[in-house]
Amino acid sequence: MIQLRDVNHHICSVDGDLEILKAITLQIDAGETVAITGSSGSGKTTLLGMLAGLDIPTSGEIVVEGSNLTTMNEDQRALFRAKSVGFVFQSFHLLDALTALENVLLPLELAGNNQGEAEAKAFLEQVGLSHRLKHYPSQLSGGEQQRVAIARAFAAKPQYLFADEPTGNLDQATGSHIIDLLFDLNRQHKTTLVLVTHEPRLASLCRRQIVIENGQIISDKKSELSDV
Amino acid sequence: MFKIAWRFLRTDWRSGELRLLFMSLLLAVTIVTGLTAFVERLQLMLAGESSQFLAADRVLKSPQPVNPLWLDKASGLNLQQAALINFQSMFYASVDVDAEPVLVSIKAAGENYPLIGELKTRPQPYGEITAVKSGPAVGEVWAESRLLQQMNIDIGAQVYIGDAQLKLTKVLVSEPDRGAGFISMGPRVLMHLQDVAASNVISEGSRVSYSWLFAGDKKAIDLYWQWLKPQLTDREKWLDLENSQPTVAVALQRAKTFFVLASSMIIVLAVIAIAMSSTRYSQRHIKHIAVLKTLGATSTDIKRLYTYLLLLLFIAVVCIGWLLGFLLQQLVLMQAAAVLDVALPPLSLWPFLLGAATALISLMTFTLPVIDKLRSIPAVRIFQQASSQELKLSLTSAVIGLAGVLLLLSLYTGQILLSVLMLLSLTFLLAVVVFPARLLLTFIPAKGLKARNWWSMAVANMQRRLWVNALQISLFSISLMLLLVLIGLRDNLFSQWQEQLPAETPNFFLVNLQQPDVASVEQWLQNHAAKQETIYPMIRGRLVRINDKLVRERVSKEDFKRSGADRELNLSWADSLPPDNTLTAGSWHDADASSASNPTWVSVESKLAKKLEIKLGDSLTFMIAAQTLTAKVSSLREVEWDRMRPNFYMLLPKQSLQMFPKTYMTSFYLPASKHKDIVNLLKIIPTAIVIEIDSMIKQIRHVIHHVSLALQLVLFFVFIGVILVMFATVQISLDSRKKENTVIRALGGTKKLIIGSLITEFMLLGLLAGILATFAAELVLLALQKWLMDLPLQLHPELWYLAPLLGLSIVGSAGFLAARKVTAVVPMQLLREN
Ligand SMILES: Nc1ncnc2c1ncn2[C@@H]1O[C@H](COP(=O)(O)OP(=O)(O)OP(=O)(O)O)[C@@H](O)[C@H]1O
Ligand SMILES: [Mg+2]
Repeated sequence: MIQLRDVNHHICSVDGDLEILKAITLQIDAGETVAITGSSGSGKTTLLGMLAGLDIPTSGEIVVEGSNLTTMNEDQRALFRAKSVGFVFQSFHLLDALTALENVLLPLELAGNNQGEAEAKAFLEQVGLSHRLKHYPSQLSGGEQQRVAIARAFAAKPQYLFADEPTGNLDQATGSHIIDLLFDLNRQHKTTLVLVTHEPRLASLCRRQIVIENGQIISDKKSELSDV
Repeated sequence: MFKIAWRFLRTDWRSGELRLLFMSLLLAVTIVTGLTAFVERLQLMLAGESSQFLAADRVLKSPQPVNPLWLDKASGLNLQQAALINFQSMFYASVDVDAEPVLVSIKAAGENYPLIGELKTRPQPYGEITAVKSGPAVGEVWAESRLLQQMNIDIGAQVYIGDAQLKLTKVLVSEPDRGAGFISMGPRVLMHLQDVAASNVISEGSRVSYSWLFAGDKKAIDLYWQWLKPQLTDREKWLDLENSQPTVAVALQRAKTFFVLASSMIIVLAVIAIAMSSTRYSQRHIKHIAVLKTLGATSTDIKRLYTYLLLLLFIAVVCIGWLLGFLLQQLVLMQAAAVLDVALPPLSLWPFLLGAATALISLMTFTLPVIDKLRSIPAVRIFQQASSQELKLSLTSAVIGLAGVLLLLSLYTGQILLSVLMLLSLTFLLAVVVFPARLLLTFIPAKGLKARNWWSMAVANMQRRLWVNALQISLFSISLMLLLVLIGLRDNLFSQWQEQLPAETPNFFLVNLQQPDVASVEQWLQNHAAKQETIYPMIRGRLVRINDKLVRERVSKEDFKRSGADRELNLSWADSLPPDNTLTAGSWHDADASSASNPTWVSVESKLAKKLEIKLGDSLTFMIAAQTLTAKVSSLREVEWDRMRPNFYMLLPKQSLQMFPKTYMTSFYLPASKHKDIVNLLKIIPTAIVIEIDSMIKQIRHVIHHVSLALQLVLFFVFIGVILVMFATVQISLDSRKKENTVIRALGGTKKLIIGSLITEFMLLGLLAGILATFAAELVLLALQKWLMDLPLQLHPELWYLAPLLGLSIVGSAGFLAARKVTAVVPMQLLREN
């Protein structure tokens, strides 16, 4: 369970103080699938980053399973991410110098699991890349890279999985494939899934849809259409 | 295009992309200009200081006045001149016939004396020392204080030299060209040249030495010598630093080599720094070029754009770099000039040219090829290339760039061999480090990140980045090697100089002793706690035959004169091989080791032997006191003549020599407090001649001390350069590391893990580089000792720990700073990057 209490985020820029998140209070329960939507610049990515513990807000509290992310130091949050968080980036962010398999192994190593090779291979198999284990990111297509990134996000079996426009850089067909993959894996591993998207189809696949505008939640509803 | 170039520069500067390139270019121009100017002017200063040994640049010595045409020629060439006459005379303090005169050694000096250096005087026997630039005026004399004591006279007294009545106006402390003084020949008196005629003391046949001092432009002096050389006879001697002060001359020569080496090293370091940053800069422009191409820019446009851009950058850097370099050397030199007590020598344009050329050549060789290649390939392909961000430094352009700059340097210094040696050792290092590393890369594929702990992550990282790491290691080790070579060389030179003139170096020679005097001399020296050297017999002899050939036939007249064999040689015997001698051939026999089965042998000094083509086993015939003596060459000896101890060209068995007339000689060290007692020794043995070399030794020490100081300063410059280059080298992989480590942190890697692994990795790199550098430096040092410096071959175990330690600490701390930079990014940033 993730709880946000009165989260505000400011940024000092040349044009003065910028309020990116305003008084956000929110609770995400274990096992939920949540889509965050809203227009460009509304603060979706910022909110997602806060939920994943990649940054801390200017004020307010973020409490995950009873532990307060906002009072932790940088390294404690890193350990929290290693243990409980998986992240899929819009632009994949695979390590160029590592093979597909090594990329998937990375979160396992960071979580202290040194015998993860079989698991990593299994995940790559699930995303359909068992024949590309030794390939480097530069040798993979965008869709393939995103599949490796998804395998990497699930590899350490995190409780929470975050994705920022996971299909943003992909074509329609590949995008659908990625979405299916994401939800398949989510069902299998009972992960809490929070994603940011512009795509109505993707948003509608989630049970809960949060719309934010100008740094504020303007709508938060649970869809009747449960599990697809 | 010019506008775009300007805009690119501005945005690049703001984004920080240009800063590293700008800084390394600026550093290169500043330090190359500064150091080469510093070295150039420092050498002039040291040369100026050592010219004081002669009080001139060159001296022509003759026992009689020389052809006035010779002096006219010198004036024609704009050489400064001064005339000197040295002679001995009686010195009276009163016209009274009964007054007891004292034998003094007089130097009569004309206008302009001394041309270089200063005379030190006191207004009263115990007054403050003041330095003056000219000798006594007409009608005045200056004398050493011991003469004032001896004669019981004061400043202002009327004194008499021959028929001249003169006024004693100052106490003479020292002249720059005092050299070795004969104490027994009396205290020094300085008078004006014009008063010599009035004194009537110089007549036909009196022992007088005339000197003409010359100073001026090196070219004019060389021209003059070319002209004068064929006209000189046996009686005239041409003195320069080389033949009058070999110790100082050799020290200066070696220091010069050291300086050239240091300048080339700074250039190498500068080229490396520029190479790295400009390659990195051009790689970062790959995207710009691709965008420009898609917007329709032709390849000519792109070429012009980057030419403008680099030109603007170059001009800015050179202007600032020249200014900084100039200020840097000016500041240090002003201090040095104050210490050395000489004027600041002029500054040539070379250092500025060299600084600019280093920047220009390396900027061109490292940026243009990359851009040129990009110009000709389609935009789409460039975008693909841009994604693989690894930095690739082209080896060929590295070698071309270095060769270009080193060529320039060798033109500047005239030391081509040195440049070639540098280039070879650098290529060697690159080959030794980079190629095996590349081979390893193909055989041991890296296995993941091993992000379990910082140690395994560091090791895995090292393997994975083998290519870049190999490059970094070789750059680190080149920098460290250069530093080590200079340190090793400095230590070699220092210990060499230390050995040459250790504390308690003999400061007096005692010659012309008779057999019965020997015991009393030994007694006297013992009573005065003098450090005494062996007393050697001295027999005058002339070498007349080598095997069956007369010596005069065997060698050309020219060689013969130079080797000194036409003069009488001093022969001696020794109980054992004298201390400054090393056998180069044959074997040594002690003085009494001659027997029927072992005929008369002779041990010959090796340089003379070489000149006269004397070989082991030759038989030499000497003419001694109208008798002949034939001896077989049993050994050749190398002699270090500059150790202030008696040494001989020919050593023979005692029994062959002892029947001939002989005198004895020795040298000894007497502490300054006891110098005044020398007079007593002369009272005991009136025939003995004491030659004082104390002030000369002091002067030599003084110059060598300054040369050492200069060496240290230059070394310090280089050390700073090395640190900067090593820090810059760490930047090579910083970009890709930054991105990679941010991702790792987003995935849950802690800062501790990342900083720990980075520091470990860099420390390992530094350690490896240090070990390699040590090997390479020893090899280079051996080569330098053998071929360039003519120094004894030796290893430097005291340096073996230094490079690994320096590598570990410098690269480690550079790694720490880099790691801090790498981890300063908030992982959130990843969400905003594409
Ligand atoms: N580091 C920063 N400096 C300045 N402004 C920032 C920074 N980070 C975010 N912002 C601003 O905060 C606002 C919200 O940014 P955010 O990336 O969260 O929006 P978003 O909803 O994800 O938009 P999009 O749909 O376009 O990705 C934007 O106006 C952005 O310009
Ligand atoms: Mg966004």
